[in-house]
Amino acid sequence: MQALHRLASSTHRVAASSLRHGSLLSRTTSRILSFSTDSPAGGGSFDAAWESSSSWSTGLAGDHFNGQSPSEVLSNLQDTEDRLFQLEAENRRGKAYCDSWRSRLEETTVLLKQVQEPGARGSYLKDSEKAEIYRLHKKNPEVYTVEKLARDYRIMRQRVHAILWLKEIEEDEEKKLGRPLDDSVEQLLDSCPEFFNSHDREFHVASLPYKPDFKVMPEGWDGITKDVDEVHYEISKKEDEMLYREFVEKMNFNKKKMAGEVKCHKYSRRRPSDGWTFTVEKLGSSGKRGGGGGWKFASMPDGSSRPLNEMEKMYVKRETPRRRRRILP
Amino acid sequence: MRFKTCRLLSGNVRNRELTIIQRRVLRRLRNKKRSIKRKISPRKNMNSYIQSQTTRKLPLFHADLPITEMHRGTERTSYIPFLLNPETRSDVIPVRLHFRETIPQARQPISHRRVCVNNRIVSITRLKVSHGDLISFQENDARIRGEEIRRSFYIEISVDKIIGKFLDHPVRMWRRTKTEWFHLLKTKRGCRLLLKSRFLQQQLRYSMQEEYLERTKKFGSEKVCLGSSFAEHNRMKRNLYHFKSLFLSKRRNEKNQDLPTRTRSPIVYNSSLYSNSTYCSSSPHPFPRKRRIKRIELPTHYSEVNHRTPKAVVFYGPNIGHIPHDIRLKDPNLPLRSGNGRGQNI
Repeated sequence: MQALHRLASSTHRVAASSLRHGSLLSRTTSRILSFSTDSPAGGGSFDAAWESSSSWSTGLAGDHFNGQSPSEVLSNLQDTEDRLFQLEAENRRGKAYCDSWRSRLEETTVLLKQVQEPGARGSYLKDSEKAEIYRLHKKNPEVYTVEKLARDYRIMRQRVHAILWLKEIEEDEEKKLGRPLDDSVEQLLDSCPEFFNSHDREFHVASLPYKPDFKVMPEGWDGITKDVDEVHYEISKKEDEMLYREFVEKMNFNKKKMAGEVKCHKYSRRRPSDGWTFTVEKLGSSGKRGGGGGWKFASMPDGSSRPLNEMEKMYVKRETPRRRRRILP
Repeated sequence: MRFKTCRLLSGNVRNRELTIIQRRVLRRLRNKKRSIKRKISPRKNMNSYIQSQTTRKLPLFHADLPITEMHRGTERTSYIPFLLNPETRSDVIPVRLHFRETIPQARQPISHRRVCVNNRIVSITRLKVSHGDLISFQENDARIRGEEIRRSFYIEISVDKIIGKFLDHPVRMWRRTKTEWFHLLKTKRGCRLLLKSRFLQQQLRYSMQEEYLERTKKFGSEKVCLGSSFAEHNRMKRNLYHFKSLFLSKRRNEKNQDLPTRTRSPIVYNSSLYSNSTYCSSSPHPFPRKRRIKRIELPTHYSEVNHRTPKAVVFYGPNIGHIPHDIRLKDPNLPLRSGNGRGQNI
């Protein structure tokens, strides 16, 4: 850069010297004009012209005899300067490209990881981000729903539920304990993620069997088939919905179990003093039960009946067998 | 009668003409052999087959587990089939969460009734954990387990696996010896000191990043980026050539005009463009990378861990198969699945 600056200053010096030559030229022309205006007056002005200085001393003749004119010198200098500026700009651009090589390689690393592990998130989800997720959801649960948080932070919905649950448990334990818990491991994970190999997932990708899928098409078939990637995407979406629904049901049941609302011990399952409450199912129109048309209600010991509450509905739902294809990661 | 029959069977029986009694005895023996064959159970259900398959496939799942430790203890332990959803077992998940180091260590708190699933004590090591379950310790043990987890994280990661690799170099880190670091990392203050150390933050993280990027290049990143980089390289070379020619012609003109010449050449400045780039030169740090630092696996793709309260929630699954992604499995009979979306064992 210093060399370029020196070259630029030298070009400025040459330009300045050429400007001086220009000024001298202008003076000479003005004198010639004054001589021409005095010629019709008489012989006196003619005598004064002979007394003026000669053009040999001005240096203009020397340049002429050397074969270089001032305009040519100026144009050459201008071209050189333009080329220098252009080359300097290109050098600057090349240097910026070289400096950005590392960030471009890191971006390529993220893309290649997603190629190897479909559905992978590019970076490790830090504990500070988890705390932010919990804070946002707690502050405004209607706006920051689970789906919105999952989309914003590029993680699965199941993971958002897990983060909220664990952060809630942590908050309760801190309140009970009266002091903050030890967060050394979280600090290590946040500050040095390069030491760990995490496989955070952004979405579920179905595992399809690798075999040809031949079908016998009808005679009137027009030859249009779905794209394989589109089919894979649809299957993945369905499986993700199934997994999410199952996870939410199990998590809610486990939460109630931890809260003590689910009675399992034999003492808690004794007959109440006022008698048992029975669940009665009325058959449907075609004599079927369950999803085929029947509906259930609770019969109280005193003979009255009432609809099922939330817990009983959950129990009924859990009794239903769920038949589906085995989902592999 | 029987004694006499046995005595008569001496010699080569097939080449001789047999009597009625001899034929009856041989027929009975053949029938007995067939019945023995018919009663043999299938090979897959034999304990020896399960044991051999387990020994063969265990290194794929538990690369750090010494196989001999499996056979220690009672015989019944070694016959537990690991092949049935190993990642969802209650003794495998603590190892994945780094709550315990090995599977035999993980079984001890389970059998001692210290591990809880959904706040219920479980004492079965074969328990299958499903997604939506919360794994935790008892309240009395949670604080102790938390300290053990912190110690194992810091000591395993920092001192054993990372800092120990640089023992033969004069690093400012080693104002303290390894023993002193072990003693210091038992406290929170020691952990904070380690996190704030300049060696860990600036040099070690940088070398890990460099190593990771170098490993990425092997996967074909150059093929992805070489096109643009090659064109850019050509353009820079052409640019340098033009600059050099212009400089030389300018120098010739300057000599004619009797102007003072410059002491430093711009070509020297231009060459610094190449030394700054990662593509054209090696890393400026002088550490030799002879031994590869192994990264520690985190189970963030199927479980969410909170190390403050040592609890974890399994959120993805079922049928989780945590396969290290750099293993190429080509046996179609293996029930393992790779990470690609087609279910192929590439």
